[in-house]
Amino acid sequence: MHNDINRYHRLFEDSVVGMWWATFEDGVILEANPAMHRLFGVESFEGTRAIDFYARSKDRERVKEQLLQVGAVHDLEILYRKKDGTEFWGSHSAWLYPEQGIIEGIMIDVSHRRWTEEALRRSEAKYKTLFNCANDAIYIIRDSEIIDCNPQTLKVFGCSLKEILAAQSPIRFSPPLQPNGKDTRVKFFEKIGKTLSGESQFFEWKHYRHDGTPFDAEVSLNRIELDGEVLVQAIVRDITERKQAEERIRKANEDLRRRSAELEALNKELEAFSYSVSHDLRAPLRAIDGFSQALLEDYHDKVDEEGQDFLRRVRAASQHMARLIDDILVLSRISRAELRYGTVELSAMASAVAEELQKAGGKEQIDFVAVPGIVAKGDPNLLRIVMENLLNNAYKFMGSKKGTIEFGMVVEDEKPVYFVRDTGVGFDMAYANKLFTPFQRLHREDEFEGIGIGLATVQRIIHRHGGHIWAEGEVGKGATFYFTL
Amino acid sequence: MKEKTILLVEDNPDDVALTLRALKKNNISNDVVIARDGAEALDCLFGTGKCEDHDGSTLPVLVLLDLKLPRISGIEVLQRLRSDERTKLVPVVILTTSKEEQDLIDGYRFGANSYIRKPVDFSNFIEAVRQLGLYWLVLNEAPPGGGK
Repeated sequence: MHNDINRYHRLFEDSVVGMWWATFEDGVILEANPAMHRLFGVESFEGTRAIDFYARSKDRERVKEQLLQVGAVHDLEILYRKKDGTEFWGSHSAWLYPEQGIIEGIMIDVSHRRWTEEALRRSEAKYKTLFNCANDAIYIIRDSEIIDCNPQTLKVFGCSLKEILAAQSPIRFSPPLQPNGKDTRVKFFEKIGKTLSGESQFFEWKHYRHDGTPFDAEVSLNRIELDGEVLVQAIVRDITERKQAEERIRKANEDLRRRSAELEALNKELEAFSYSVSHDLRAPLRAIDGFSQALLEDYHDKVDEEGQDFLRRVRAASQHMARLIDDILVLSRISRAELRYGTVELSAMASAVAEELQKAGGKEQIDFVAVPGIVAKGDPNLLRIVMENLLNNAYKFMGSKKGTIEFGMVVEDEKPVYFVRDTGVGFDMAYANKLFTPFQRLHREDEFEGIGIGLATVQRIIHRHGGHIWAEGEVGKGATFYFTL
Repeated sequence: MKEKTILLVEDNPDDVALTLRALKKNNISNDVVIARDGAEALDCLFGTGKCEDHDGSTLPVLVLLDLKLPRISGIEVLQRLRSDERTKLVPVVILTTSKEEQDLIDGYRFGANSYIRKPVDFSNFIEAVRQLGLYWLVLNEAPPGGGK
């Protein structure tokens, strides 16, 4: 018997299970083994009461009540607080000795299990939320059969949970062949097999909805383990809209390709046309002019003065037409020519052009002023044509007046605007919109010569540079042509 | 072909008449042989086809060549001319309506000696013919072996 007491004492001292006695009424701890000290991180329980160790005071009420009613509690999991404030879960059993008013109890730390379980619960809750609220259909496949699915799956496939589960396999929601010609069944089992062997799959798939309408899907398959069972989780995204958008882009691109091919063909045609214009239209003109001249020379004694005047008019008209043809060709060549960008010193160019015009036209009475150092990016040859036309016009419409022609630049909306200004005869702003139309003239031929193609050419060059051109003027006061590049 | 002959390759009869008139106006009295297309031009130069009767030993002193011709184009005639030992030195003046850049480039690349665009104004044309006659028939020394 003595040995028995010793034996129990050793068990009490060495056990990893906490053991203790306390008074029922006040919870004063009468005795506790070392395991108990370790559990609560105390040297001694002296002066402490059970209530101090419950993390939630209502737990003690619950325990007391149960002890009163049935005399014992078994494996109750309760959150305790150590002396240093940290909490742990203890599994707690106790017995009440009512006569003595004493409780005898044992306890072990089950925190590790509790925390793991809680983390698992939380992650499960998260997964559940994801599963239920996802915009993609998510379903679980066991041996090629659907065993569970989220609400979005029902939306995507347009059927009830019962119908999904009855359909069993996603194959039922797919056409027999995939768009690439592969057999759906073969492909499906191949994908499932790869997924189960640990290789996640991501691919496009043709699906049917419950009512038979097809849709494009993007599927990702992953291997998951649920309750020790290896399953496949499928995430199916309806990409019909994306596919349609892609198709629209593809069609638009095709359209664009076709149109640019058409444009190219048209351009070639235009080239052939201008070639034939330059050849075939000029040849008869040469004959008209040449033979009129021959008549004038060889038959002047047979053709009277009036007849000779008519012949001269025939010649003048054919030469005028030849110039028209040439200018139209220049205009069309400018539209076709490839832009060769470079740095263009506009001020220097304007000065050089003005000097030539001044000499050629005997216009010494006119002052030319250019703001120095204006430089722009553009095609030097084409911009030269712009300068020549604008300055030529300026000189032309100065007539024999004294005055000034100016080339300069202003800045509007942080962009440079170049201008050519003259103090010549100007124009009525009411006709400003007609200035740039081919063959539109604001002056009679006998006032100022010209055929009305110069500004049309200038405008085309400016447009090809992505710029704008406009004019301001007043009759008798002059005109200003502005352009951007 | 007589000595100092001019070969005029031109399909348009009006242009032929006007060119002959311009030559006459400038007192250029060389014989003018007219070829109405590229094939005829080659016959005249190499003594083939309808020109079989002449042995091809004499060559024109000058070829006035239009570019836009039926059957064989002016540029092709020029190429054939320049690739043949007998004719590769014959002076060729392209006399055409076109001033398309590509025609100019091709003309010079295949060995034309001059490129003249026929002006519509006949007075200018007479002046152009005067200058080319003066240069090619008077001032210029013909290559040895050609143009005799």
